[in-house]
Amino acid sequence: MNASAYELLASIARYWFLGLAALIAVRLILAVVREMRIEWRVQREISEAGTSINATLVLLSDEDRRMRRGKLYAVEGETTVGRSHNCDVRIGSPSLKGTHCILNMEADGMNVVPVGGAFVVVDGEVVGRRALAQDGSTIQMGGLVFRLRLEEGNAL
Amino acid sequence: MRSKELKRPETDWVLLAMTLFEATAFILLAFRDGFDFVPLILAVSVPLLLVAQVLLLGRAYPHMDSYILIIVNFLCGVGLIMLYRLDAGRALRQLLFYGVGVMAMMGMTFLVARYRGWRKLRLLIMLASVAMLGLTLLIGEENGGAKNWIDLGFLSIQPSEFVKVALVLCLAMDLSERRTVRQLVPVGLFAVACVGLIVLQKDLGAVLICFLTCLTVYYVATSNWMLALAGLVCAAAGSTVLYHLFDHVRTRVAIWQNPWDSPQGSGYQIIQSLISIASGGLTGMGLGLGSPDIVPVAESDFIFSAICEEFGILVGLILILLYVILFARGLLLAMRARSSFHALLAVGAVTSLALQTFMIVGGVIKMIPLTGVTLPFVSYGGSSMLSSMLMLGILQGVSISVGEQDESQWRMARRREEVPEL
Repeated sequence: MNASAYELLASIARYWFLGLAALIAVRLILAVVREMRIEWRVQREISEAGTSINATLVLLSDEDRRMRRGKLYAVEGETTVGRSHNCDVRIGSPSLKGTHCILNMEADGMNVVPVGGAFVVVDGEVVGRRALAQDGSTIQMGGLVFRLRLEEGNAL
Repeated sequence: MRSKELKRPETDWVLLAMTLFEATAFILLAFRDGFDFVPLILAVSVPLLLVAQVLLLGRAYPHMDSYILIIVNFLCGVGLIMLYRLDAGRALRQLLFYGVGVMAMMGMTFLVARYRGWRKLRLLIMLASVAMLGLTLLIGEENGGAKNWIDLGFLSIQPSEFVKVALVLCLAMDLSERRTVRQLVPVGLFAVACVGLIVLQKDLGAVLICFLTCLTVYYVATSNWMLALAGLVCAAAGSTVLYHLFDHVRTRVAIWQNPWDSPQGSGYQIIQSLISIASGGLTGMGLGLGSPDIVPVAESDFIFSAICEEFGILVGLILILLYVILFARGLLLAMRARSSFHALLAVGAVTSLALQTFMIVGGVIKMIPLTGVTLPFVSYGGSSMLSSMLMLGILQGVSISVGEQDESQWRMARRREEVPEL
């Protein structure tokens, strides 16, 4: 093909490329927005049904017996327990640190990780780095003692 | 498989348009000088790679984010078209890197989604990246004022690209379970070592990306704005020091303020880039009709100005829009993630890619001082392509684990609704 014919072809083709790029952009934006709606709906249904809760902590005792025994705390996905506002489970006991420990559901049980050398005992053993708690384990954080209940079928 | 209610919107039209774009561009290039057979092979193989990935990976992992996947593959395709027009040999090498990158992406996706033993790998990743950076300082090659290449004979690699991925992985791992400042000392030291070694290599673009990524991930993990702000102040102080210390930083700032001081000297590159973008106009000169090869290193750092010249500013804007969709999808993933490890991984990968894109596009259009980084997925370069693909793999892995969790919980919620009330 000679140079002038190519020039004509290429200068026409630029509009074709622009049109295709515009089509890609518009269709992508529409699809992404629709996908986002679906994702939000799924999130809403999950949180309404409470199926993302995979464990509960049952309060057995606290040091000065001011709190109600048998109080339930939901553990949803990765959960931080402590006294500060940032924690997912906030308990106003002076024996807890601001962020006391992180609970994380794994395939073989609940992973308990104390934060910054916090005092945590799982089934009678003081936890150093991390410990695995099972259904029915007792977990002591500071002066509070909990029993862990893993929800059937909600595990990961 | 996904259930019917969760069926994703169709992307067939987008896919068709992308395939047509790539195929016609290569066919057009085949007729540029007489007739050439090689572009016709590319015209088939590049769209095929895109469609094959969407079909095969989409089947194997229904929770993979197909939008991110097709956007990235289209960006790679546009990069290949422009590279072929600039330098056919480089384009063929890039095609190889692209293929290897896709493999690396699949490996990383699998690791992030399925592998549980990251904690054991942590030390290994840290040591390997510091060793690579140290080695570069010892035996590295100097290129454009920065000593950041290791020449292996048959190919040269740029370790700072891979260190970015290592940083994202280590930061996410450590920050997801250690929250106090004292516990963060090891990963902090690692980050400081990486940034320090890259400063010594004078690779300032990579320094900025690594440092700001660390800071963002740290802030997202701890919401400790005091320390994050202190980090920013340190960065400002550090860059002032670097400005006075390094000659080529001063040059970069000077040509950003006024490139016309030395139009034939240090300002040549940026001036040519601006002229080439301007001569393209809104709709471009037409593929193969411009002269983007006048701009030095048009194939890697300045590929955006080459695209703007031949395809037009509008197509350039659409490419930026695609990047924005990519990053937005990544951040949405981070918000949906149930474990902070996955959330921080997504934030880290998105921050690193977004900063890199912003820095080079901003540099090419003279919005900010030019830093020599590559445009992710588009620019020529094996290390850059591989590290960007690894980042993409991280995002896809997070997407798979988030999607699987969401779907199982959603099914359970549906089942619960179906049980009649007693």
